[in-house]
Amino acid sequence: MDIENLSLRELQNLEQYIPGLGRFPSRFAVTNYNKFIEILYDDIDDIIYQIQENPELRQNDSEDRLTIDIRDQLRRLGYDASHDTKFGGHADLLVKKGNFTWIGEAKIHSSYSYLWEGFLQLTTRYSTGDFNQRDGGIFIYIRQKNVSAIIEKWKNHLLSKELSDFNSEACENRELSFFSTHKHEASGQDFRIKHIPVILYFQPQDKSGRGKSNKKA
Amino acid sequence: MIVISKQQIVEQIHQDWLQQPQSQICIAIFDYLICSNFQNLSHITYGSLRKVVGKSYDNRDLLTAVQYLCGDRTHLLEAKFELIDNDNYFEISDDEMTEARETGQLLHPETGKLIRNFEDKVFIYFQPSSVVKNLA
Repeated sequence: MDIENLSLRELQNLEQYIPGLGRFPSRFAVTNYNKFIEILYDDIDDIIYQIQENPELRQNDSEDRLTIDIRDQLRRLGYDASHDTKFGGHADLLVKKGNFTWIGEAKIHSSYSYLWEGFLQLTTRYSTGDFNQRDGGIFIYIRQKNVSAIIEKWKNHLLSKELSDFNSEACENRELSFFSTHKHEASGQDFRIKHIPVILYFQPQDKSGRGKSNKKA
Repeated sequence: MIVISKQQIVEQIHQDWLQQPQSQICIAIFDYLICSNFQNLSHITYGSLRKVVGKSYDNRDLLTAVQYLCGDRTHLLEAKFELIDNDNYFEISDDEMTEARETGQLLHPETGKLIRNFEDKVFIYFQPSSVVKNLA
């Protein structure tokens, strides 16, 4: 391939070999908040798919380890992304572009009350809900089976909290994710959260997998 | 304006890419930017950067390294768009390009006419960013 001069189309065509490259021109040129969030979410989805490729290697990873891997991948795409940055508290993942700020909270799923703690940290500690940070995300690392059912229960758990102006909507790009919106306590404006499950279940039932489980036991 | 040192940039690149080839590619491009006269760097192409890093690295590594250098993390390269139409060059602003990609339509900067298949006629080139020009 000759890369003396690459057109937008040629860059786009390389996307199939280099995930994220097709979005590269939009990523650096974006000046609009909503577009920034849209591109960021596409990039995060690609990173999540990569992480999910090897759940067997992730069984002992801590919340921090998993989140740092997401941060590192975002940095390689060029994002100003940080972990554990002082921002009201220590945000798990902070992504900045000029004045735009996106905050992510991360939890290994153990109970819905634990996820709720993450939701409260994100919405009442780290974010202001102002125009430049009216979106956030919760990474839900799930080692149990049936992620779809877990996410449905989590959605119902949120609904039971009777948050002001609460609403939820499906994610068009990834069926397992969803968006929730509620009135942010600090700003009084809508705050939208993307709930992002990460499938880390690994219980192979083939002969080789059973052998490994027996040896481990 | 952010002013950081060369050493900080090199450390950041190593921290982000570790032993990956992109570490060496980014540092080679960084050296090229700081060792050249800025007046000669007003139109850097992918081809120019390929010559800078040599043939030891594949295109995938080069393209991902350039993408990284244009991002907010280091922002050593300022990426620009240009329309090449019948050997004439027209600069396209970031806002014009964002809108064009959103709507699928780009108007010619001079004639105002709709450009068919603009994605085949718009190219990216690079310049040293203000971070490079203001290095401590």
